[in-house]
Amino acid sequence: MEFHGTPSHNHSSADGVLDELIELRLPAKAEQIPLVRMLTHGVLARADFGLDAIADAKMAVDEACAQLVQLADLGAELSCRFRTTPRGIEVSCSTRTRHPAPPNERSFGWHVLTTLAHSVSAHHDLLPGEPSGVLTIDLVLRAESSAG
Amino acid sequence: MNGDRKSVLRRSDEYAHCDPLFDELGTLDPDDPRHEELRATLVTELLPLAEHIATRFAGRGEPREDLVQVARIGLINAVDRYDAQRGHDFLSFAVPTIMGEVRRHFRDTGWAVRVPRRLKELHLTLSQGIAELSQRMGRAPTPTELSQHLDLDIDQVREGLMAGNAYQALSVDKPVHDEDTLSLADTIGSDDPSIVLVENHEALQPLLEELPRRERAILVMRFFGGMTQTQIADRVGISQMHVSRLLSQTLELLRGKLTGENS
Repeated sequence: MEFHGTPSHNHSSADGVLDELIELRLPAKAEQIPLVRMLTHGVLARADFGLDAIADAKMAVDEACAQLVQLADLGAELSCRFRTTPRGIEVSCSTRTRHPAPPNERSFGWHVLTTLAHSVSAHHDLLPGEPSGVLTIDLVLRAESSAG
Repeated sequence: MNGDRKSVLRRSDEYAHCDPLFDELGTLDPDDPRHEELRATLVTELLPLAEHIATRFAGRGEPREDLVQVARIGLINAVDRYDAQRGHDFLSFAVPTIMGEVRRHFRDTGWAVRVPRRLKELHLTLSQGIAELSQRMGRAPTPTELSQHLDLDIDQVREGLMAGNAYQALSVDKPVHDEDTLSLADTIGSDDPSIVLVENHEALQPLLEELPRRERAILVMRFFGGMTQTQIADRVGISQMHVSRLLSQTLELLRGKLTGENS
């Protein structure tokens, strides 16, 4: 497991100065997900999100990670990246999987994600020359609670 | 429980002098200054009862003074809700009320892991601050707002909120029906249209029906009713943190059952 809390060196971003990246990499196993919850809590509390929004975000990240872990290849890694942007906090969770398609957008799990996060999207990118690809779920979290 | 009640009732003579006061209280208008005076007298006279009940729960990891405070709140509630004209004596009404309050305190403050006393107290302070601010602002406060309201360092607030993660989750073997004040019909129709939009709602519906009604109502209010956790907390009469825990748990439970069926 690795933990990075360093400013990003992403040259493609025009807002590079604001663009701090926090990343947690851990085994793609259900029992590891509470660590992601804790990091989510810490990041959002630091960003001074409302407590409703923090609680919602934890559930959203929990759900996204749970979906990924179910599909992950054996021994795969789960990566969760948090980035503060003008849109809110973007969380990108990804893992390696042979499962070719993103999650079903009409499932209950997806409904949970869209209720809790400001926006949700998923994409699956094939790795060249390999049977597996990288499945990513991107969430945008906003300081105000997403309900109402 | 029965044993508890009996041993408290054995001392009921100690409080016999309160009976005429209750009778008088029942005849007074709540705006009457005499009403407030009698109420205060009764609460003061009955304080040993609260202490006695709190003592029965001592030695279970909660500070005794906290238990006494909680029992006193239960006592005040009991004094306010007791109706002498219904023919029950006060003690047989008050003892279960006060015990219920103390039990609820244990349930709401049970910790999953050992947490330093300082953090527990901080957590309690934060919970009260959250409740006050939510009430005042009609939404959940931010950590900064909490730190200002409570005059605490922001890092302390963050640490305390994080410690809330170690809070014991309400497990399935604990009673869930004791706060059953919520009518499910108030919160959902059984065929909520937005549930139908979910593709696997046929699989979901029976799982929802298996849930304890409070958990189900909370889930539906959040995911199909567009309510915030703070609004739900207000409606159900529990803390936002408690709502958050119940929701997370319910989701996890559903996740396990839904994927179990799909695979």
